[in-house]
Amino acid sequence: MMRLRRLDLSAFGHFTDHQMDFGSKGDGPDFHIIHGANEAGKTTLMEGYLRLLFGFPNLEPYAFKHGRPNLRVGGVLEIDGQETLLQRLPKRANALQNMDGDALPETLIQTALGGLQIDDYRKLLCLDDATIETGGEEISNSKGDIGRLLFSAAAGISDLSEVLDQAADQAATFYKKGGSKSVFAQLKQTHTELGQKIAAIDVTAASYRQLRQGFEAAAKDEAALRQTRDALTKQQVRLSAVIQAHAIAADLAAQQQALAPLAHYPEIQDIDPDMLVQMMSRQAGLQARRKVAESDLAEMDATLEGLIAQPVLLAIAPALKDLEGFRAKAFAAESDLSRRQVDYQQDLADMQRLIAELGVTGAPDPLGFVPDDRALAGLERAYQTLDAAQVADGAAQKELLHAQAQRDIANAAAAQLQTDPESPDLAALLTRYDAAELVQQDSSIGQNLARLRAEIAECLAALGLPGQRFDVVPPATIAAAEAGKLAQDIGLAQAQEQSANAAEIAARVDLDQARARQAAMVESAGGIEYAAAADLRQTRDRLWDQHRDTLTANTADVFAKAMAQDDSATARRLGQAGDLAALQQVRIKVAEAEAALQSASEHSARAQAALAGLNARFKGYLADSGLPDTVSPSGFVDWLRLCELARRAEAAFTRAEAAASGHFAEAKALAAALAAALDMPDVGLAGSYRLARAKVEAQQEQARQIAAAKDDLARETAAVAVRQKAVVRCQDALAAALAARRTQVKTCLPDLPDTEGENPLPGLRKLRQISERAVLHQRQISGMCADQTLFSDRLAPLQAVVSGCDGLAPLAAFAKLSALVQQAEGAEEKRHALQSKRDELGQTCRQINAELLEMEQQLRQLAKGFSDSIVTDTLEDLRQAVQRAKQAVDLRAEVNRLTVELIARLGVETPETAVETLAETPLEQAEGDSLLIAADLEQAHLAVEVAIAATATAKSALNAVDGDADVAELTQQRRTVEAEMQAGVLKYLEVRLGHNLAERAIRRYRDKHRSAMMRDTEKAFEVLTNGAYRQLKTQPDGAAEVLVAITAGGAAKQAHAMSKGTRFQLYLALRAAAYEQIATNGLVLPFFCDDVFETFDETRTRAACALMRQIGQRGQAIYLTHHQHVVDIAKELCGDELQVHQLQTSAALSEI
Amino acid sequence: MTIKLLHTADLHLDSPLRSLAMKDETLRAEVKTASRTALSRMVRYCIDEGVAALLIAGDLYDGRARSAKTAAFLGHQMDLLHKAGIKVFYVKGNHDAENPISGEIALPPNVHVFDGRGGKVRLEGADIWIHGVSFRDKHAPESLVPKFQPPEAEAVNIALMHSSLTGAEGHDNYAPCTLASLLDAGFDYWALGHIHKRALHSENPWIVMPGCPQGRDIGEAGAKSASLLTVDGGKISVSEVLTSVVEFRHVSLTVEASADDADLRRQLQKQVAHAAVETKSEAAILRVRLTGTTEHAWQFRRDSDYWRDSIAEMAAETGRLWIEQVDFDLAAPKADTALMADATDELRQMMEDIRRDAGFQAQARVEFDQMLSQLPPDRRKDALADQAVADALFEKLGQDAVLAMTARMLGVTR
Repeated sequence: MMRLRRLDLSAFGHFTDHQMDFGSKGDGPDFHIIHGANEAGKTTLMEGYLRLLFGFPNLEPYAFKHGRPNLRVGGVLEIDGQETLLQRLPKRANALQNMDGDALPETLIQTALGGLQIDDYRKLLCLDDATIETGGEEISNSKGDIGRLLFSAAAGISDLSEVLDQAADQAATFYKKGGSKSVFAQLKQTHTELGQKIAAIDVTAASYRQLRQGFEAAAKDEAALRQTRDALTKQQVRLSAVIQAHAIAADLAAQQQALAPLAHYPEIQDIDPDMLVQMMSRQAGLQARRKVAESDLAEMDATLEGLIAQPVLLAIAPALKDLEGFRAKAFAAESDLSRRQVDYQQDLADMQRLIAELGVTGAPDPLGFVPDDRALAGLERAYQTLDAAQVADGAAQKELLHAQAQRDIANAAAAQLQTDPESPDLAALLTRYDAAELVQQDSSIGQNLARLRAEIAECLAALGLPGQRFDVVPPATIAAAEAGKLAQDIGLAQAQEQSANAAEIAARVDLDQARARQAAMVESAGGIEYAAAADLRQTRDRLWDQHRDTLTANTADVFAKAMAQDDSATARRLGQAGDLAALQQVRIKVAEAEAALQSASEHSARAQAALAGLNARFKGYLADSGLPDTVSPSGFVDWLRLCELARRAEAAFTRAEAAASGHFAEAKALAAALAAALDMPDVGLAGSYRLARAKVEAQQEQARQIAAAKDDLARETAAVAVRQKAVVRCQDALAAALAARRTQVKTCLPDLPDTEGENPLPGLRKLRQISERAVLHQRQISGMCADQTLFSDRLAPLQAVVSGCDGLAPLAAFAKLSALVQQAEGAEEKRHALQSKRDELGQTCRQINAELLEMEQQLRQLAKGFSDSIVTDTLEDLRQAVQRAKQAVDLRAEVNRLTVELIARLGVETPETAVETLAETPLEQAEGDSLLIAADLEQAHLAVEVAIAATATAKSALNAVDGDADVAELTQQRRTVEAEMQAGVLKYLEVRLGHNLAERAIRRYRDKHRSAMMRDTEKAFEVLTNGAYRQLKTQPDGAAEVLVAITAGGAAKQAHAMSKGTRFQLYLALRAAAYEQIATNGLVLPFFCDDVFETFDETRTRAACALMRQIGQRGQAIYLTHHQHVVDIAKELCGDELQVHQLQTSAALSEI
Repeated sequence: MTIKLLHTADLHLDSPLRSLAMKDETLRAEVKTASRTALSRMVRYCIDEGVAALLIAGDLYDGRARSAKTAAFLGHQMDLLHKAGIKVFYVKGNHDAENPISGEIALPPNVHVFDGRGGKVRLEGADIWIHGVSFRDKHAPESLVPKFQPPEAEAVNIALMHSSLTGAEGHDNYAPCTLASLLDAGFDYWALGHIHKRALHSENPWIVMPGCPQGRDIGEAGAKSASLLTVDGGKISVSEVLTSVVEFRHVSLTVEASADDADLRRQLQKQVAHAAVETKSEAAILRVRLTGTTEHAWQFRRDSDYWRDSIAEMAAETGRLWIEQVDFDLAAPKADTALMADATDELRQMMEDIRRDAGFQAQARVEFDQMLSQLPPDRRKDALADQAVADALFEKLGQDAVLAMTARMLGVTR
């Protein structure tokens, strides 16, 4: 338990070193009221207490005087009877200290608070207008379970259905029985698909073994066939060699015969015949070139002699070229000069005309008359200023006229609105009676009474039976519960009677069946019943006795026959021993069934008797109640319940009517007063109130319009004064602008005769434009004259050197000189080219002669390898000798090649052995054998090809089993999916288990706490409303529940339908119940209320004080108020048990 | 003359990695078939570094793998070694003996496979003898050590054997034997296989379990390697050669009592960065476990999806780490008579009570069995190995369900 013994506000809010001592707890209730005027610091005090427990927030609103770093609260807390003196500082660490400044552990307070956080403390135990409403609305507006919300107010558990829903959703997402979209189903699908993929591409050990064995067998077959084929091939090759060798031998003989005439030609021939052909071709070419060159030389010498040189003209060529630039300028001046002079004269004439248009006469120099740019700009500014001043003046005049018109309109409107001094003061009348509240209550009470009347009528209508109606509620003959018990007994008796009847019928059926079975068995046993057999035996014994007595043939026959019959019966009975045993069982069954039937019959009779007794009693009650005997027991119970409901409705109506009597009197007085004030007949409270209300509103609207009109008039009058001042200012500005313009014109244009006339600026701007153009033309004319003079001076010396140019104009002389110089330069260039070409041709002739000599020497060198008997004098002779020598070399080589091939083909050592071998196997014989073997070999080849294909196929299949990682990777994926499935299933089970456990635990918890909370709240609410509300219920609202309070009249109301005061009382009752619950759990803490009784009437304030006292008996209750009447009521209620603490205002504290 | 030999075992070719992290396509593309890459990596090492022989101490194949493609891949790798003149000595392990594919594909002549009778072969050009005995069947209840022929005098003797070592003889099916029997056998190097965690049992003589070259799940955590033997002047020295493409790592973090979101984020970033530095392979798959007592335990548990995604993002930023699972083993400080704690605490206690109720258990167990029966057979066998395992799983699910639901409730009430 924790109690606040003393609160020290050392530096907090406006408090400095202030203490509030609650004293020690006595035997009576620990109930305190802190009374103080507004601004005295009651709320500050409560907040200070919260700071002591929970520390200071970063943004501290109570630091306005001392500054956050200097804040300090303290006090004495009694924790489980132990006093602890402590203080709280606004620090991050060691904020909680004892008075010596030593740090205290936070757990000291946290443990005492039981983990309660500041928000929850405020919501539960520190109530003010905001928190009582907020917390209360959370409860009443919630769509959750009211029982849970009620205990959550005490236990801090809020919307746990959300937790359950989340868990359920999580589980359903993973797994849903039979579903194909769940995570698990998809994982399963993936797992199956991976398995199928693996099976499709994998090769197992057994498959691989088959592949390997197939390959080995195919390879073995192929090897055997290859061996056969190779042997045949070998024979074929040998015969083929012999056949080819015969042809080679014939060829060899022919070659040896062709070689004989060329035997004296050299063994080696290394001269290339193509080279000789090239030499011959080159020799002929050189000789032809030498002849052409000699002819060209003679022709060039003749041409050179005919060419003549011009040195004078060549010497002046550079100077003439330098003059080209001057010539171009002189040429341009010649064509443009006259046009420019005409333009210049035209400009001067235009200027004279414009000056005259301005009114100036006798100006000798038009260019001197034009003012410069600066003077022109000054003139422009003066004219612009004047224009602006004229425009502003016009606008000000217009605005003044408009303002005067507006003022006249406002004046007329104000004069039209007048008040009616004779109207009654209806507003005061409505306020005096608190008419709005009274009308609302009247409507509410009227509705309530109407509803109760309707309920009674509804109940009476429900009581009616066919042919019977009830206008008043019938008196009670038996309680509904008792009738219910009777109906239940009758129902039970009926059931028992029916059951007994059914049992009797069943027993009868059993007996019939048993008897029928017995008869059937007797018949199937051949008629040899025990009794019949016994009769036969008796007959036999009787006849034996007779026979023994008489010993005659007749008796013997009779006895023999009887004995035979007995023997036959005995034999048959022995043969049917099993059937007889069964028959005996059936007989017993028949006896049992008979007994059961008798018992069932008796039971049925008893049940019928019991039912008849109960029915008789029931009919008696029906008669007493005036009801026909056709009414069933359950119908009678329902009817009785309706009677009870009707009686309750009747009682509720009577109570409500009595409670409303005071209200009706007040309503009547108000209606009469309104009728008098409105001067009209009484039309009822609501109607009078509506009319009065409308009239009051009309009066208020008129007053508002008059005030508004006065405001408008004052505003418009002020506006007129302002506009008048503006007009004066504009006219002053206009006069100043006119003076400035005059001064500027005199300064810039002294020759202008009239300064007040037309604006001269457009004319001056045009004049300025033409004068700039005239100056440009003047400058161009002087430049062209200078260019012509310069060109003429430079050309004169060149004209003097060349004859025939004197007297020509400069441009014509320049053209002639240029033509002569160009002609002389062309002749000189041609002479130089011809001389160079002649030198090159002489050099060529010399080279050709040297090459021809070198070729002669080369021929002689090549011919040395041939004997003297062979002619080699010219290149052609040598070429023929070389051709024949090459033929001899080729024949010798062919003879050698054929000899070697012959030996090789037959596989012998020498040519002689080869000849012998060929002699042994003539050509015809070899060809015949070869044909035979070729057929065999073809077959062998085919067989080998087939075997190779088979082996290759088997090998390919075997090699297809490669070491790729496809299967391993798919296996890895499948293993991962399995891990996901496993982890997911375990998580699913965890969530499902948690959901099931939580659902059951919450249900159990709710059941445990709900009833106590509801009872406590109900009790507190009844006390607070002075019995106006007697019951709290929960009723379903869709999937949720809502809290409903039942009035003394039986009406059900939700919190939002109550007045603010009643709603606060409900919320206070909830907190009181919560306090009780918390205290029962061992947590007792100070309970604060900050003026939450403001909206309570006196009776309910008294009840609320009683509730605080009750809380004070369990723990500590502190109420903060500025209402003296609350203090008085509490004192009256509690006497000396109440402790009242006065709190002075901040002003008073400051004075202290 | 210096001769190098590379010793490996337990390749379990084409056995898939068991991790939810493999859902990530980037990781899958990077890792592909990790066991193949590990073998290729060893083959490449042998060729590049002039290794004389590769010693394989059993379980080349995985018992479950039945694809001839696996064997074809192995054949190709052995052929690469053959072309480089590198010998391979191989004893079959329990998985090889049961795998039908192992006898189907002919291996190149450089591969010597020891049979169940045992034998010895001299490494050409060196005074080194390789001894080996294969598993005949998938079970070998008796020790294989007596089947080894005596070591050659004046030579280096290396023995290849697949064995679970000191398993209970007669009860263990994987050729159990004592270390003492190996020490006394006279061999210079015991090249063992079967246990997937690397272990150097002795250095004189060498008794080496190299571990698998590629871990397949979090149970085979850490970087994986092969053992490189360097024989010089009759003396053997041993070093490690990294083989794993991806390694599994545990990351454990004790959350500070007062840690808020920012603190936890900082701690996690530090741990993830540390894991990235510690990772020797190209990539690592992390299983993260948060422990400790914190007042925010319920928040962290409630926001577990958010934290899982955050950690995955941190891992992704390293470019080489992936997250397969995050376990929240966080405890809340003991609440006193706290009001707010009381309500949820009471609900939690009620859930606990209901959970232990026989009726509820029976009902929940039906759903448990039904759901697990829908898993593929291997996963079902994994989850329900026997009654005790199933019971433990059911119990844990119940506990987790209560904690998770409590966290959800606190998330709403606070």
